[in-house]
Amino acid sequence: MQLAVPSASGAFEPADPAIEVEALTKRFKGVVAVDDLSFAVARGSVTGLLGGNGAGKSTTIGMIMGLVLPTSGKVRVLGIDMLRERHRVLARMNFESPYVDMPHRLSVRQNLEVFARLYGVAEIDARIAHLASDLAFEDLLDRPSGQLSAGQKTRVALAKALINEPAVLLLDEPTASLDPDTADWVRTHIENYRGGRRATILLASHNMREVERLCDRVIMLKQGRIVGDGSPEELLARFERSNLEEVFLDLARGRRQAQ
Amino acid sequence: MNNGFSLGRVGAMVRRYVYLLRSSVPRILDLVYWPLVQMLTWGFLQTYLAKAPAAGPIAGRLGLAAGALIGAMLLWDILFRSQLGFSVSFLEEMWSRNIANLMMSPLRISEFILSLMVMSLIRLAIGIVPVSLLAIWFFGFNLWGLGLALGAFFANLVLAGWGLGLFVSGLVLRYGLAAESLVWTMMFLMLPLACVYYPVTILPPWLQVFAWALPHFSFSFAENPAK
Repeated sequence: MQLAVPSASGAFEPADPAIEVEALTKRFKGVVAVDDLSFAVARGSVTGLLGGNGAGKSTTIGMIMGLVLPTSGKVRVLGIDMLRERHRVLARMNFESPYVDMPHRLSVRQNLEVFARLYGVAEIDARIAHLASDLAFEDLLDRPSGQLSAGQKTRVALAKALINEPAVLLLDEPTASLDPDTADWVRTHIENYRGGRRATILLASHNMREVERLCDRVIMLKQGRIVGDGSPEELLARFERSNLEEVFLDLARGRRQAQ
Repeated sequence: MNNGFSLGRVGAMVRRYVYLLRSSVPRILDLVYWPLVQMLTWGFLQTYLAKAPAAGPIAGRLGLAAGALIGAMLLWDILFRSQLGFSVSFLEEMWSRNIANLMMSPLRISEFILSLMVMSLIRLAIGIVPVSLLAIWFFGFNLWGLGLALGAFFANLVLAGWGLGLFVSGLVLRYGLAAESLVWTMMFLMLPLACVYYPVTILPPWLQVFAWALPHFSFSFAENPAK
């Protein structure tokens, strides 16, 4: 599969996609969570997976990460088959989710150190110091992770997700339960990381503003199927709406058919 | 990037579990507490049986059994604690909702399992070594006196403990923390056949087949280590 992606000069050129999903299906005891999903994510892009509760976003991300076994279909990340050879690519990926935590009794530094070792990071102390400075949690490094507030935990989780400078970053509702200021701060950091590293980011979210701000492309899911796919501008024009929230409500409530 | 087996990643996981253990004094004490309580209980029973007035062949049997009980208890604890050491380290991941972070990292299943084995040995050493030394001091029972045979027996018990620990951890991974209680109770299903507090020969012949197939019939060994 070939995609057109913007090069450093801004011109479009063909490149292998960072993520390829082909006819992906997941059934849980007869319930179809993801239904014959196919899409490709261009390298260096930020793609949003949008959908209501139970739309299949987290299951799709789980299958892309190799944590959830698909009922059928294929997933390739950076050209590697995730079902057969995921260990060849895991060191170049990472993820963040508010639903996953780190051991509470370990300090922030200890937690990050262990993950740095797991990912084979070379200069561990320097990397942790850099991330702590960049994400403004230097004063929290020796505090037990269980004593952090939600916003502080998100910053540390983001540091864990960036510890290996991943080429592919998967984010599952990265700003869920954060206050607007902290959420904005996190989004800015995600934008900066993408810009600096030219990383590919796949983002599952309920937050329309977040998606509009961060994403080059939005894939809308409903009952495990794609019901909308395009840039935020394209979707707004196609659905004749002024913001993605209205598009989302149209699709969620069945006011418009998939296009 | 090393895509094969990495001792560095095993070391990272062991380091993490050591950090966890170090961060909680009650958990360290807990490793010694039950072996110590058991050793004292069976040690005092051994002392009582040794001094109990008994006549005829019963006297000899009581003395023999009394000597075997404390050893059997320590050997049973090696089996039980090795399983617990393996499974509890795994449970730490479930309790802290960290398992997805690990599964998403380059850590391989084989590396994860090896780190759990190493932690099982560390936890076992913290619990059993001091208690076995105290057994010499308090009751004159020297587990280490079994010599090389202890090494073979220890390996057998620990491997059996890890096997069950792996099986139970798999159940917890599959069914979630609802299956957590199996970590603490599954081993006791084996207790009747492990013959910790009585010889294998006391079992009905058809059950003895299963008991001899298990690697941890402790009483018979401790009763007569020369066998």
